[in-house]
Amino acid sequence: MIDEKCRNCANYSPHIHFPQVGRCLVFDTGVSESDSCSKFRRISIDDLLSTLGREGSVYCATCGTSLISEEDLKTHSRSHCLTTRVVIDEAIAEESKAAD
Amino acid sequence: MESKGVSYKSSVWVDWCPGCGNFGILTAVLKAFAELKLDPSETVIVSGIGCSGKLPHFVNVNGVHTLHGRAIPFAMGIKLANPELTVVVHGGDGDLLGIGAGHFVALGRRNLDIVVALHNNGVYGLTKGQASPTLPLDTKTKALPKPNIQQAINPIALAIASGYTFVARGYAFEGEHLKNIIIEAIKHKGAAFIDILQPCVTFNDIFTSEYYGKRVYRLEKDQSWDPVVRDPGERVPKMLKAIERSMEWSERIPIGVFYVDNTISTFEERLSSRLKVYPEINPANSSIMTEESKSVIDNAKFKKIFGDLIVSVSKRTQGRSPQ
Amino acid sequence: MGFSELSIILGGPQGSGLETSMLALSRALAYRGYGILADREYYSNIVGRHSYIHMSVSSKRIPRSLTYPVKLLISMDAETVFTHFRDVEDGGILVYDKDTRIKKIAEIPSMEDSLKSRLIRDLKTLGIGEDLESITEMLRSRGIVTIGTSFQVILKDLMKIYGIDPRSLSRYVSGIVTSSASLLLGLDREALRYGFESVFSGRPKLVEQNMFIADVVWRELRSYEGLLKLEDSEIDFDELLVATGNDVVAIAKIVSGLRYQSYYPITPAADESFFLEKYEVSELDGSVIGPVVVVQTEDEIAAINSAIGAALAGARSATATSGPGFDLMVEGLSWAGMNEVPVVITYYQRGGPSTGLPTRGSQSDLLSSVFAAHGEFAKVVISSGDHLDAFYDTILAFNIAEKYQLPVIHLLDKFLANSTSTIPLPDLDNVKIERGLKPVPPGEYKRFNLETLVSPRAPLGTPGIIMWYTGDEHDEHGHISEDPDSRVRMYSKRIEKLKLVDEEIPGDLKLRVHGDGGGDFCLIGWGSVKGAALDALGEIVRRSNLRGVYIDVKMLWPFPRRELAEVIRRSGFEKIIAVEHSYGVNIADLAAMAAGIRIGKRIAKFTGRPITLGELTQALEKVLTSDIEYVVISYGE
Ligand SMILES: Cc1ncc(C[n+]2csc(CCOP(=O)(O)OP(=O)(O)O)c2C)c(N)n1
Ligand code: SF4
Ligand SMILES: [Mg+2]
Ligand SMILES: [Zn+2]
Repeated sequence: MIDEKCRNCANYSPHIHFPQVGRCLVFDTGVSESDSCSKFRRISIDDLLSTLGREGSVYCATCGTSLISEEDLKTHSRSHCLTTRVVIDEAIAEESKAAD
Repeated sequence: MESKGVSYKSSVWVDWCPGCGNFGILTAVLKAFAELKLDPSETVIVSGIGCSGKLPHFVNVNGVHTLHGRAIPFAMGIKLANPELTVVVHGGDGDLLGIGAGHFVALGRRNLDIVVALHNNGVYGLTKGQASPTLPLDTKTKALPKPNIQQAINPIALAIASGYTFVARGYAFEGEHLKNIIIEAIKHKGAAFIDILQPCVTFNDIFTSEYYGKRVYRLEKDQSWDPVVRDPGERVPKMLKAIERSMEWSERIPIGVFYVDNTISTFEERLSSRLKVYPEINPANSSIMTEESKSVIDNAKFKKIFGDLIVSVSKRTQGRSPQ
Repeated sequence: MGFSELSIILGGPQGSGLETSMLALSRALAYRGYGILADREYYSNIVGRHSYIHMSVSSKRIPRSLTYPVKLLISMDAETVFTHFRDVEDGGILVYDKDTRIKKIAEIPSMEDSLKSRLIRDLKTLGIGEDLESITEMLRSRGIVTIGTSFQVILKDLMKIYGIDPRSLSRYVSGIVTSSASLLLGLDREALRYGFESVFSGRPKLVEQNMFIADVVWRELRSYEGLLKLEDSEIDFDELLVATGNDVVAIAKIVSGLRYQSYYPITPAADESFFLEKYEVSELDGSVIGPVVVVQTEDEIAAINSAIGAALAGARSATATSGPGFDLMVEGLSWAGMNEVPVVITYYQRGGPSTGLPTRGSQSDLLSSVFAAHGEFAKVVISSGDHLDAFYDTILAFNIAEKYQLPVIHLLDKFLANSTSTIPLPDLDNVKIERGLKPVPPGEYKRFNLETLVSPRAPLGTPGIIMWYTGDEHDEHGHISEDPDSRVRMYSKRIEKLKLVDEEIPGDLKLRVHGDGGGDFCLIGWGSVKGAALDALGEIVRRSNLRGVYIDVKMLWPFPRRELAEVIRRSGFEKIIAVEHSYGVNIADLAAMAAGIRIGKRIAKFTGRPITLGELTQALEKVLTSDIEYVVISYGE
């Protein structure tokens, strides 16, 4: 209930492929989802809704997909780890193959 | 199609990189369509090839995902054949301003009533981050082995010079503002262009959301900014002002409406002055055959229509006189 | 007694009124019931270079081929005489401007050096001088009547009387040509007036002035009147359409219900779009026919892709082009195949590669059009042998495109495009419009429904339904799918539609056998070689008693392999010969590939000039009576 771990923090940005680790937007360091610190701020539905409204999507680290509607946001938020930012690995730019 | 309560979002999984500016554009489109209550069966999104080109598959209106650079010609054919349709083009910067630049310019000359939305991410997303025509000289984004040796096009200035009569810029992560611009562009009669600043999280590490977040400001915040040409006499000064503003690209980057000209005829109007019956009778709704599967032109009509090319033979020997 | 058939050349510098002469003369001849076929030869140039009209006139039938030598050569300038004097038959007539008689070949700047040196060499061996006067003298010695008239004197009078602006002199030079041709052919002045009236319709002054010229010509050349008098026409038509191939295709497009045509200007296709624009909408007895929206696009890429867009919105839609433009359209063609779009490309071939011979004809793009575009998909390629065929084939092209939902290439050429013919009026009672529109089944609409090879097609904008299209491989809805199972089904569907075309199109529309079905040899060709081929068969029978048939391959893809094999098996021809305006005579390779038929002999012409009767007959004789397998013909300047 009072899980003040990074995974529930508004400043946590999970890695796209390994969401258990990620980046802390406050300290700009690598953290794990089970870390915690004094700057913890629980991510709220309002945080997510405001990002959704402004940027058009939020990220569900549990499902590994972007959500673009309020309904989806609310459904996933009940039990999934939602974030406003995601860490895009440097390797993607190098390793992915071109398309179309 | 009943537009009340329709969901404009299709069930196709959106496979853009998480955090991509395209999400902001897609959401703004969905909201704009909903707000305008567009009939999905009378709305067509036409796209080119690129990450941006996939957009129509995510929207529950007619979608035509075309060739690299060619969305505008496809859209033109669709719109001219059925002028009742609302036609919106989505394309990348490589698509619309590189391989398809000729079509982009030509649409301005025609002032055909369609909307062109440019997904301006500075790179060729889907082919892995090569420099696009909007990437400034000497810039080295992540995937480029060496800095860019070509200069950037200014899309706003190009659109104005080409003759677009609605020219605006939005930012993918200013959803509400972008949605309103899309609505205005759709409502505008004539060729409308929206330059949408679109962070590419994977390949463009220069023009990021942090970069834009600090710089973009809204033109309309300036009380004296009036981009609308209401009288042909205002055209040149307003054009020049808009182009001048479009050069601003360093500490501050303007978004909003740059230029609107309501004094220029649309292509549909020009056609209608020539064809008279157009757009009421148009290629999509005019009849071409009878119930017996004959052409609407029968032998008698044929002679009337093409009489200029028909010679009535008048042979001397038979003593016939010319008819 | 007079002539029942003869050939004429009218020549002069490009832009000097030749076109007008040809139109007026054709109309005047048609008015008196004669059949004509007139080829227009010209350089890629706006003004100054030599151009000419090569015309066959007949009182017995509508001519099908062009022939040399000609009975009459009318020249507006010395270059025309130099270029064509060898084409004049003994006993024929030359009309020329006597003010140019001292001109020498070397003094003609517009003439190409290679022609000059060929001529000078030939004249030298004959011991004839290089000036016009020496040439006319030589012609007279061959029994050719040379009529020198002073264009200058006629025009001077005209300028004095009517105060004509010298800038519009060409309008009158053409009058001299038309009038002298009429006088020699024994056409009366009423017919001539008719010719002028139809060309200068709405400009009565020009008609009067040209009739004034006719009076002068009649006075000056009185003694030659009727020297080439045509027999009264036996052709039994009350009405004749006088039109070029471009015109005929445009007319047929309008009849077939074309509603969108895009084009980027290119010779020899652009005139078709001009014509369409002129007739874009007609209001008759309160009903509207049309409109055809004709758009000059920024390039051929936009032309094909906007035509595809219009087709998606439900319009019968087409574009017209030539080789360079078609090359640019190919990616769009592939998209149309992928998305099963009914669109028609009217393809007028000209001489390639590259800009090649931009104003000359060819059939060298057969393989390029049959095999154009990446990936495998159904497309249909059809061709037309003459003006009337082109009319019906244009309608067929749209019917096939819509019924089977695929792109159709209608492969024509510059010869047909630019030649004028007298054509019997088509009978529209026998023309069917087939759109292949089946009712859309209730429930969720799937544009690429796999239940049938041809899925129910609904245009964009159909109330209550939406659809997607994509050039990527897709599922039944038109959404991107790379699933191998779905890929196999979709990919096969698009290709296998071609089997339907192959099975359902009547054999007569795919291939036509001309002749009595049997014989010693079989000549195979397609498109505009038809007329010369048919007439050459007649000549061969007359001269050698060998009998043969001509097989006109109308549908080039899917290739009518069963039908062709059947004809050949049935008749057991000893010799099969292919003829084509190309180097490779590529129809032979296509037949080998698609039907396993070996065609042993080939007759080729690739000068850009049309195959004429005499040279084809000779070439046929050569391959029929020897082991020679490949003959190149090249007559005509
Ligand atoms: C004729 C052609 N050339 C090249 C390609 C390969 N290609 C696919 S997407 C693309 C560039 C996409 O960049 P952009 O238009 O900026 O779209 P983005 O992916 O950035 O949205 C290219 C070159 C193609 N599909 N077609
Ligand atoms: S590559 Fe760039 S533009 Fe394409 S989806 Fe990813 S972030 Fe978006
Ligand atoms: Mg891009
Ligand atoms: Zn989830």
